[in-house]
Amino acid sequence: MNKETTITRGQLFLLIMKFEIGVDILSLPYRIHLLSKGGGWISVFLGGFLIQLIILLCWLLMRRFPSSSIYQIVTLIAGKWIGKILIIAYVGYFLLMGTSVLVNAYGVINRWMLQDTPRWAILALFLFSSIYLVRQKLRIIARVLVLISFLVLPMMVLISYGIKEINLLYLLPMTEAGWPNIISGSTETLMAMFGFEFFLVVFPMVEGSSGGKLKSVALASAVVVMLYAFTVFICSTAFSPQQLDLMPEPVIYLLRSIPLGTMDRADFLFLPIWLISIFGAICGYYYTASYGISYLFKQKHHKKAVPYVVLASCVIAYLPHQKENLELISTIANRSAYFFLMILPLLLLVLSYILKRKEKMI
Amino acid sequence: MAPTNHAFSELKMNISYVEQSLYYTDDLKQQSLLFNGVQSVLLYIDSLVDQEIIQTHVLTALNGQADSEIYPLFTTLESRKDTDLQNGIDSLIQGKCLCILDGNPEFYILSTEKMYVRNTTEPENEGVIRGPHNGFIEQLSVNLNLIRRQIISPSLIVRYFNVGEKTHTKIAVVYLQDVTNPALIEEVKERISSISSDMVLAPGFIEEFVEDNPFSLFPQQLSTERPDRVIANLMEGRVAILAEGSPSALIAPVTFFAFYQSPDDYHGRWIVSSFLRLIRMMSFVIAFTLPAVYIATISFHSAILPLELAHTIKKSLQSIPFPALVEAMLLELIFEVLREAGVRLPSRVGQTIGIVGGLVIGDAIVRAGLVSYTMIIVVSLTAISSFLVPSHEMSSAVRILRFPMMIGAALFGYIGIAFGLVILTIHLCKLENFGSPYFAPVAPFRLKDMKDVWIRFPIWALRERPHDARPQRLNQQKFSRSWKKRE
Repeated sequence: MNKETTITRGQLFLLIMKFEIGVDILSLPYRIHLLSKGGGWISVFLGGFLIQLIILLCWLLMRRFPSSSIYQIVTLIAGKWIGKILIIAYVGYFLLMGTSVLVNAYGVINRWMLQDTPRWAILALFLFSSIYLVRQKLRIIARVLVLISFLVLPMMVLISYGIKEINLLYLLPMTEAGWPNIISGSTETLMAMFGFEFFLVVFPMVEGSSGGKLKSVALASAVVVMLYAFTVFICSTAFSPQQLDLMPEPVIYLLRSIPLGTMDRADFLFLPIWLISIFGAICGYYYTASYGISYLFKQKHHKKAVPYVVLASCVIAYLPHQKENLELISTIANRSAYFFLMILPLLLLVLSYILKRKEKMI
Repeated sequence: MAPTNHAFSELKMNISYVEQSLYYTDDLKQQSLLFNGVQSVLLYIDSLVDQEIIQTHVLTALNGQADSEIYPLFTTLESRKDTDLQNGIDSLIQGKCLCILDGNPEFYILSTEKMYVRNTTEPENEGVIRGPHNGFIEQLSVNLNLIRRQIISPSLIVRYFNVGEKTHTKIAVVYLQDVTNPALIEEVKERISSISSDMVLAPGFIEEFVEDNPFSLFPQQLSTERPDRVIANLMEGRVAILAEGSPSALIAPVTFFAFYQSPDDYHGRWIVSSFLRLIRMMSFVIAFTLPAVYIATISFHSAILPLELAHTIKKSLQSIPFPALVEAMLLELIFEVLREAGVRLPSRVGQTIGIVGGLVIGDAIVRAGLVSYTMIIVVSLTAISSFLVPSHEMSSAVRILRFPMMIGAALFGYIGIAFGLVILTIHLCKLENFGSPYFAPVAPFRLKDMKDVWIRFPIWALRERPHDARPQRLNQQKFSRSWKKRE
């Protein structure tokens, strides 16, 4: 593998971190609150633990094929034709995930910053900039995304301004919702943490041992869990439970209520930063999808597939006119994630053991 | 006459051959003289030679001696024997003088060039407060001399190239053999030798011929007239390209941040230098985002402003008939026009421009109700910030950059600015020159090289050369302050 297409483990760490902090950081405290009330932060940790298990599962599969991406693995295990179908399915999944993030991002922009700007204009903004980024070599994409991932820092600084407002009593009673609800609340965290699947595709392109790569991915997820737990904690202590019931995006409300020096609306500062971060996540999905397509058509470079992928995603995001349909996209994407990230890898792993399919070490 | 290269034994034929080859140009002079009874002639181009050299070194030598060989006579001049007339003609147009003897197919080429040498004064647009005050001039040999005087090392290599089919411009590629990456040297040499053009004007032509990304807004080679800047960059394992007739050296590969490093940084105290460098980086951001942020704030997100400030700004905007974008564009364009008008005017007329621009337009345009006071403040701040860049090319790039940013801000508010910044970042990360990343050490991120980017660490802490040019040896100093331990 030539040097132009590899990335380092440090880059992998930051990239995975970047992808996992997605749209959901804005609404996670609310959605978790609905289920697990004051025990929200416990749910986040539980979800984080589940994520580690899923990552471990995927890694066990990837480890058996150190120089193949998920696309090659499905062909190796399931054979040519089923493999092709599975590749298309994975491409579809990544495309759908990207689109769901895009739709959510558009929703936030529309609600909070640009109420009157038509949808096509904002989508066009995403369209051109993501085509420009995703067309580059993986190494350059990684460089850009590493820079974007540093934006987590200002985001967290802004959120931590909420510390001034916290009231720990709001957390009590901690197990108000009961353990079953707290556990089912952890699935919300799972959904918010999707994005690590990027490593299914780039795994062979990362330098280093496969154990080291696992460490990067696992560590990134752990950091994100900490950040999510922090965010949930701040939001559920800064707002009373009754207030939280009414706020679908508590993080923005939080920032809105804090005057920041001469700035009356810190959310206007937060949202563009958040949006760039989201843009990075979307591009990650587009890259994985384009890579899949280029693999399917045996193209050397993913470049040619990019415009189609991005255009398809933007068209899907443009079509629905009802709010329900928009939400449907994310629901489908999140539901299918369970299949593509848990059931299918598990199935493949078992199959690879049964069929004794394993990549020969070169 | 048939084209031939070998000189004739007959003097007349030689002379007429030379005359014909130079199309009977009027400044070709011939001076006949008798040497040991042999008819001989001195041929030279009047406008290129130093008459004094011919008088003192050639004519007196030839007249004073008799009964001796001619060749040993030119002891005080660089001279050589040749028989190829084509060589003779090439030497003639370089300012040399031919001495041809009748009955002899050999002739002598004497170095009698006249050089008009300007003083190596400090370049006007790259002045420093402390540090050396000399600069390159239009003559290659002097420039190389300035470099060689300061890097006294056998590993400093100069490679000459002649480019330009008609102009035969002499180009020198300078590098350090044991520091610079060999692949880089090969790449530079290959790109320079593949230049095929009738004319090569340095440095602009060379820059455009060899750069990697011709469609980028950003300059990809650092052009400097300061020997110390060239030397510092050579020591970092980069290559300098100098050309006859140009006082600018091109340095490749460079990173984006090289344009923000001034030679002054290394002569001042490091805390002060770091502070100045931070100011410069800040001014880079201000120079292309401030008008955009202002436009976005007043036309989309005025809620971000505290109430009192919002009132003040709204009041000043009340009588303005244009949207913020038009207002900003108008003022920015006026500023650009004034700047361009001021650049080439003599300084006495330049003052008039200052008065017309600053007082008349600046004040009157507000009174006329075309532009608001706040916009004047924003545009002036931007203008000043854009001039903080120590490199002229980068400063121009940044000035252009703010127009798309303004449009983005007018269309999408802060979101537009955010996307503008993202696209800019992607572009900077994408750029590579001569195989080195342009945006290093930020992308690819390398903490170790940050020592000389945002702030300047003390010199003794800069133990390693920057990594972006992939030098052969990273280490550039050992611990110079070991005496400190003894205390």
